[in-house]
Amino acid sequence: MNPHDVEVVDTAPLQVSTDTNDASVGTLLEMQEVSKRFAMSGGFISRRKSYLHAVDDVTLKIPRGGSLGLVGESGCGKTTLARLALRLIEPSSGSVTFHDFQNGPVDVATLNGRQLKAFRSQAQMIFQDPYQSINPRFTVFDAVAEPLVVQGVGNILERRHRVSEMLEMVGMSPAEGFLFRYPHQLSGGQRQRVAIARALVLGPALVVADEPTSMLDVSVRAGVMKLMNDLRRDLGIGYLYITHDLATARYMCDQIAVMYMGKIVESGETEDLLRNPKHPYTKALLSAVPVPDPSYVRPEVEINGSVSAPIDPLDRCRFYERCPMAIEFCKAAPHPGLEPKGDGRLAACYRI
Amino acid sequence: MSRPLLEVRDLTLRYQTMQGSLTAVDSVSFSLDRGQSLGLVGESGGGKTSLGLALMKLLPENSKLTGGRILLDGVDLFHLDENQMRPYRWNRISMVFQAAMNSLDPVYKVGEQIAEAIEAHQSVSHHQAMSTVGDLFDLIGLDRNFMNRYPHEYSGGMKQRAVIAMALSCEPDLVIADEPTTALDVISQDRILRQLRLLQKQLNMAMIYVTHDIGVVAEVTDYVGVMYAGQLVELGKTSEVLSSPRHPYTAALMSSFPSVTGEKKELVVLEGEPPDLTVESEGCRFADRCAHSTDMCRIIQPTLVDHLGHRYACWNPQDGALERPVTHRTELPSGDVNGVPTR
Repeated sequence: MNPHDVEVVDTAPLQVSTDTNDASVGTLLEMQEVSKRFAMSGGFISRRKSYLHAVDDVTLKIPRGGSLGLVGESGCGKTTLARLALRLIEPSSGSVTFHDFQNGPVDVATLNGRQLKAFRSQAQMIFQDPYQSINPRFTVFDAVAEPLVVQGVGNILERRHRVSEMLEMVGMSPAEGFLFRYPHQLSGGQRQRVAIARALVLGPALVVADEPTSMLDVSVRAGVMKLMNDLRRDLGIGYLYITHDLATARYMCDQIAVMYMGKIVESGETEDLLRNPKHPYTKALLSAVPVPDPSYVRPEVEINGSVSAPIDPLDRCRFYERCPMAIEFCKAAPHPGLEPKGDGRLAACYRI
Repeated sequence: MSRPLLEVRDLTLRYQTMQGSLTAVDSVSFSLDRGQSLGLVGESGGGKTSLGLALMKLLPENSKLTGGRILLDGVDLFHLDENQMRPYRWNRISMVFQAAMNSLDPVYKVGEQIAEAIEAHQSVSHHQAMSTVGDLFDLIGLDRNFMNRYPHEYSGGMKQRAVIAMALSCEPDLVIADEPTTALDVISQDRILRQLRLLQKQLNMAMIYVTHDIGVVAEVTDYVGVMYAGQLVELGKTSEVLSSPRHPYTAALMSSFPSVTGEKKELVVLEGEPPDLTVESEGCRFADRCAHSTDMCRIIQPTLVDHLGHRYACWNPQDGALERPVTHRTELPSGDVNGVPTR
């Protein structure tokens, strides 16, 4: 979808943000060389500290109204990156720039107090497990209205109106029938819809979704995916969509970035990347997805070993040990940079 | 004709709940030979796991098998009591439980846990049991050194393998695997599925895979049964059911499943929710969500009818011409090949 075509439907009488069609059309969120290292305890005797390089030198851009999928195995740093994007944790180095509605680009790291609160109304998160992300003692109304209360938006009547509107929007209709139910009275799909309504109630420009459908049942999953796509189209929201499932990413994202041990190893347009993966890790990941076609013989996955934690990693390609294409050169050279490899594709590999 | 290893006839399982009694498994019949695998798919609450547990007669207190037969090599397990069941469990039928991550005891070494399972079911010494565990580790692709480690030292994929090793420990005839790879990422899943498939053929076991992933079914099973609201609504060869599903529920399930290969199709959302099982109903249980239902569907329940080995319970079966996209995919280059041939 072209971000310029995004139609901003202003449904919210008490929306915090207003005009999204300002000068900064184009980029919504920009992460520049962001790294996050976690210190590991060195034990009693050794005083030496080691570091887990959870996210290492990541640069990415989410266009306004666009959707970027972050794909990788568990433990690759996807969730850490998501938390960095929203400043739920502070980066060790690098910068996160949010292109604000009114004030132009702001460095998320420097925000404090009121500004940070304003940023929070613009950037929201949807979590993986709808059984844990909603307070069991809150009614649906309480859960969805809470962000409004925190941000001090509207009075009780306006909030009630806004919450009903959101519930209708996420397909929980009639809203009156759901407002005062508790989470335990809802199905998994309905809970995730409540979580989505809660994330969108303030009219954010950016939503970070961390595996929002992986806990849901097959039939429900398609519904939630469709809903999220519709909302993106109608409201012009930008998504950072985190998933380990390439098939889901295909339906949710314009662009995909593949992550391996804290590094982005390949990124590009979704269909193009899935049809013609360049990095050996992307190829392996893609060839490991079961195909629902019994006549299709899937090629063997050509990597061995398993992903390990990047604790004080050597400065060389992180994929070296498992790579079927590795040569001597890869062993000695520093980690390859994420470079253009034609057709708008970026990949970090010496062998492409 | 030789007798199938497992023959299930009209098996019915009912639960007593606060909301009333419900039928979780409703007159299910199928059979399975040695060396063959059956996939059970459907939404959660469809009765897949209950059916698996019923076959092992590992049932919660509030449930009761109310009818049917479970013939294992001609012996009806249905009427056996707990003591009589013991020689069959694990020795003849074993199970890989859902969330295998949590089915290992965190304070015992993994090797010891598996040995304990063997000693409980076979009269062997601890030493013999431990040597069997070593063999099992080789078989399932785990490092023998990990026998003396604790579960927390294992990765997710390794725990899954350990649990599978435990299920294979007494060389059962039938293994029921309940979502064996759901919690794993694709690369570990791929390895474990390939290994399971191989072992199943090597050891000539029958396997039942309970899963919601149609991709997994397509790859590892010979037959597939689709469950809806406790009933088996379609059953047949996997290749046939997936290429031409007859029951509208099967078709809907398949088209709501995103695929990474082929043309990108619009995902079809199956509206509505499975019926409340505490409410008895006449007619087809899927009728309210079905795009093809007629008045007939709401009055008379269709039964599973055999059409040349492909069985389905539907008054208005689909013609089966499900659009299967042409699969095209890149091939992995081998070794040091640089180029990427595109098919």
